[in-house]
Amino acid sequence: MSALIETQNLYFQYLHHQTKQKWILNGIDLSIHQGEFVAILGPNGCGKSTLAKHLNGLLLPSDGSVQIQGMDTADHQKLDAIRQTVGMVFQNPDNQLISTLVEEDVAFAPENLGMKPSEIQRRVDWALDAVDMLDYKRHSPFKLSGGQKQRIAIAGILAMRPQCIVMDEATSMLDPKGRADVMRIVKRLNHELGITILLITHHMDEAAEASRVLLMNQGKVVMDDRPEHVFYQIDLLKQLKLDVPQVVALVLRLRQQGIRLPDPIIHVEQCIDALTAVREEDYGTY
Amino acid sequence: MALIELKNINYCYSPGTAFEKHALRDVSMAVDAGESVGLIGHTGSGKSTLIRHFNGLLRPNSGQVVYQGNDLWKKPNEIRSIRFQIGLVFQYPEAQIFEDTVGKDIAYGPRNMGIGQEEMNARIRESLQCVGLDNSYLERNPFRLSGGEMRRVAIAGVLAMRPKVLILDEPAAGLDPEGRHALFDALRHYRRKSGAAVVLVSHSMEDIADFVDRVVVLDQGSVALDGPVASIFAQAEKLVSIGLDIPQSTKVLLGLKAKGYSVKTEAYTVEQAEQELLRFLKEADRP
Repeated sequence: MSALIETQNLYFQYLHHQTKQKWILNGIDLSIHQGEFVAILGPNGCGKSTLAKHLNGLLLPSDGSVQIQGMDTADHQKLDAIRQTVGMVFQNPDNQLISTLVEEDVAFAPENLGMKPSEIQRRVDWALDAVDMLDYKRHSPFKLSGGQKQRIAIAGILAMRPQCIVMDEATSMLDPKGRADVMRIVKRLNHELGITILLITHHMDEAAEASRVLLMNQGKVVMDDRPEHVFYQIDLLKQLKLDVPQVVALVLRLRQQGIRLPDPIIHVEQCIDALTAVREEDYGTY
Repeated sequence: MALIELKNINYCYSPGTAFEKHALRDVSMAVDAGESVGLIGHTGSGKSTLIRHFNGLLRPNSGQVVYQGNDLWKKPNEIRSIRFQIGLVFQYPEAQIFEDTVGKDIAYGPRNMGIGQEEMNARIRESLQCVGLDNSYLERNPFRLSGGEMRRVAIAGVLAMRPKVLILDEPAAGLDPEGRHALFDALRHYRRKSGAAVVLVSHSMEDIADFVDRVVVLDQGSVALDGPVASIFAQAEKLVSIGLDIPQSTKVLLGLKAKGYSVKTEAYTVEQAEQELLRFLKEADRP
């Protein structure tokens, strides 16, 4: 079976860069399969957002190709189908909401796809329910909190029944509660509905929720592995000027002091359990 | 005497209408020259409303704003000149960049102060250097810079007015770790050089722990806590109960405490947590 998203030898540069020739994407070969939860990490300017914009044809490759369920993004005829397959949520929720009522906003895509009113209504209710915002159906989106707005933006994409949602730093403008709410919804969409998630983020604790982490630098994917492996590549993370998650730093320090902590530990809960186990084990020896 | 002091501020949005919202209730806080203060609180706690009182963008329903011993609202027509001394950097300040070169954009504030060309050129270069950008940026188009660079250009525009009080609302939001470090280095540099007071509004406890001396916690429009960083983080459970995030290291200690172990939970850096955990694990060796 072919992958949901497949990039082959993908190169990209902006045409107005006449002064210096610089590849923003510098040869990316990537396969992402249905149902995966992939986080993309990397410093500003490494090409994360540029890559994301290639995944539903907002940008087209300068060289190489991007295939979405076998459809080439360069094929103009396929763009509508591609954009129904891969939806994008951007950083600033205020730039994505257009209507004065939440339900109208969510209905925007199905309306433009020419669906019957009864089907539109069904999809809007279903999508709002999936993001826990059904109670706000008749509210104005502009009076909601940032986290609520992003959940409405997600619902607007869900109403198209996409295979994949790309979140481009969609939590970076939110407060801790808003972030936690959006992450809870994203995990649920992945686990319960099998929607493929691509999460671009600077927050290591969000990337820890993914099943696969891509590290990008200078237009290339420099590491592609499970988060518990990526997070312990301390030298590489530091070289890319990324933060080492506090839990990982703590585990490494304790190990240096001779505390035997098991692999893998990337979450706070895992760390608590491991520490409890070590302490109980020591008690047991007396 | 404090450089700037808010005394018993009350503020209400849309009073007398169905949308009436009491945003600040009897808020008092003072900031000394050279001090750095963190202002934290969850969304809707009144942080943004409060900082708009510092330079007279909002007028309190009751209470006083006292700057250098003078009540700001005694002489409302002098507030404009005071705004040059109390710089307010809003969230996403790069959205306010409008000129076509970096140099012109930074010059906008000082020009409005009536500063002469020679002095202005000196100030532009000084503030550009302060945010860690060199003179080659002066003629560049700010809209072609990276997000982190644009953020620093926008902040340089405020620094060029040489404010005595600098208030920043989430200045590091959306920046990558490198951009964040560069920004905080710039702010530290400015504070040391000018002796200005800095008020930092942030959701990031790591940034707060890293940058400020004292923390004021707002909850539902009132001051919930006010004290040195360590004493605020020592009340991690209270911070969690008012909906604030705490560092992962502190979460690990709180998790162990919740399981019934006796651990101290005031650590907020990895080093402090390590010490406490080593003590906790070694304690088990004793029968």
